[in-house]
Amino acid sequence: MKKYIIKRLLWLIPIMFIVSLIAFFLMYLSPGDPAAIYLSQGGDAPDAEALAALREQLGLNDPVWVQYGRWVGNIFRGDLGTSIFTGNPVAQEIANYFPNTLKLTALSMALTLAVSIPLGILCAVFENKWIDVVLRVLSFINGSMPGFFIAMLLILILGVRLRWLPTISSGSALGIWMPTFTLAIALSASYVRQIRNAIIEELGQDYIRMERAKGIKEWAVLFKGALKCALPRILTLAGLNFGALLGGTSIIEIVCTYQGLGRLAVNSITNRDYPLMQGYVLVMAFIYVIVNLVVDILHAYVDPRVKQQYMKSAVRKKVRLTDGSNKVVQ
Amino acid sequence: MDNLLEIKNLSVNYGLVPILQNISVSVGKGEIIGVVGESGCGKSTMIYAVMGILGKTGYVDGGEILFEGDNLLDYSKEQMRQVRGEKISLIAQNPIESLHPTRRIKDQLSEMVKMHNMDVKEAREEMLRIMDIFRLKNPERILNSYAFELSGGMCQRVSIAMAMVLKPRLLMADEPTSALDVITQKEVINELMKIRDRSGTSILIVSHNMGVISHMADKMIVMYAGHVFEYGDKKQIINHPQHPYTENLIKAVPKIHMPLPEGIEAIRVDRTLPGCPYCRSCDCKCSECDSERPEMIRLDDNCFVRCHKYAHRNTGEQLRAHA
Repeated sequence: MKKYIIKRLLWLIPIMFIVSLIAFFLMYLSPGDPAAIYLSQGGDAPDAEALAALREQLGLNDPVWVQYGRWVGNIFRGDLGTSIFTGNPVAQEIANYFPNTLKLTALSMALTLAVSIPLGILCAVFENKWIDVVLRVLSFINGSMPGFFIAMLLILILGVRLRWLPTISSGSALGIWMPTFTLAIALSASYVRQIRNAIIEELGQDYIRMERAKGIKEWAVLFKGALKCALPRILTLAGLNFGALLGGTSIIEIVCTYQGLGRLAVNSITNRDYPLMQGYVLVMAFIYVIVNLVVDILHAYVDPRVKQQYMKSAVRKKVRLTDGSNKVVQ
Repeated sequence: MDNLLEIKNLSVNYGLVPILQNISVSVGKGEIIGVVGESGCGKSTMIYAVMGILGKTGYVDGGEILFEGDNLLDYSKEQMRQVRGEKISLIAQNPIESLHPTRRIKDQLSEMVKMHNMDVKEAREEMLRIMDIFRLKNPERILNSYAFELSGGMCQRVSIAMAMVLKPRLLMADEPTSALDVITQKEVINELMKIRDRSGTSILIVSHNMGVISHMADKMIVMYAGHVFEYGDKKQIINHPQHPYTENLIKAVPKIHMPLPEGIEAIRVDRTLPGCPYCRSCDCKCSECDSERPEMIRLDDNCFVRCHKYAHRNTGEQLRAHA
């Protein structure tokens, strides 16, 4: 297992190299001169002399490879560049917004799972009974509503009518709940359906019939039997969403006025804040890869079959040693 | 011999489709009953019906299942659960798929034992002992394994051992030897028979393999399209099959050094049609076969047959003389 983790971490090197190339050259090739944008922030056209000076200062006159090399070199020193728009270091900008996004992601993911696992199981157990039909219709309606619409509905109901939550999320302790509820509701739609289907599929397996034939109580058949087998699938689902949510959910953050990474990313794009954009892409790619690795490790932990796959090479060697023959156990 | 299990006029449906129709069979104490028939004839359904695990769409449409004199169909869900695994246990068809994929064998064992309020340690000892009899090497290691780490044959022997740990009175085996090679098959069969001899466990064994049945069973049930066509003493059925279907079935068994018999094929049967389900393939069809379901006819103490051929004869003696 350790070997596997190290191998996966080593894979980070080529992945991050390619991501950095893409991030750098996308920005390099996109129209607009960063120096001109910086100087025209006040609304005036920049004068040629100042522009030339700034271009020299930012190193924009150097060959592209030199620029890329300098950028990567700085990254290794922990310097992601300086935001053109705010003048703050990019790393600091991202660090300011990241905790908010992390909190939002963790909360909404936890809420989603807490709601949709019980509901999914309920649907599976009462397959095609009224409770299942009602929940499926609800999740279908829910699933067809875009996230920003749910956000506005919640703002209208929880914020304006009932006045339970602030309509503007930033700068308030309760503020985080509006985007959390929005995300959890939006995600639950597909989660309930997928968990339901996963459990129904497991309940149809031979081992479930066998457990019943052994006189195992029904709750144990359901939780220790079926749910345990469906867990890896739920985990994969949650892992993918977790990674995506960490990148920020710009539309919902903007509708709820939440200070997260999604908002930062959108702002950096509208401001043509290239260093910030590049830094954002790089950091997000890194986090995404790490989240995936963690999910895969957890996967091996809940499903011994997966673990065995990771360790297959090791198992082969062991068999050869004890037998003295070349028999390979699959 | 007292009957341990008595199935009386049992009918089972899956949804609207009748799967078992008017089945009557009994299993005596310490008896081994072999059930043969084509795939889909309802052999497994009969086992599931007795255990009360027909699943969501299956239900009993009439009849009685008497186990030690009590009708199992009157039992509550909880009572039925207690019977399963402890008094009646199952050896399943697909050994690997029938064990939980992500839990160790020992955990599955102890879960079952706890559910029946028995001593886990004792059960473990018993399990090791049975595994030893089955010549499973490294029984401790097997208990610590997952199903996917074991071969099909090992899984099968593990499930048989697990089915026997709680010393059930009735063992129902659904194709217990299908995953095994011929040598292991023989060992498992011998072990099952030894279990019967030692502890008087009755065994109901379903198999496609006529050889297995003819070796093991005392009595035999021949099933076709949800009906019991013939039921009685094994030797008698194999040597003097009464029902035309049984005759064909025994002819169809492939033998070494012999060409495969011709002219015998499986036909999809519409179970809702009136008349004998076998009438379209039968060699001795008569006029009633198309329109009337044949009754179960008792030829003698050891032989029951469901065929119009015998409807107008009085005793089996005459028949056998005729044959």
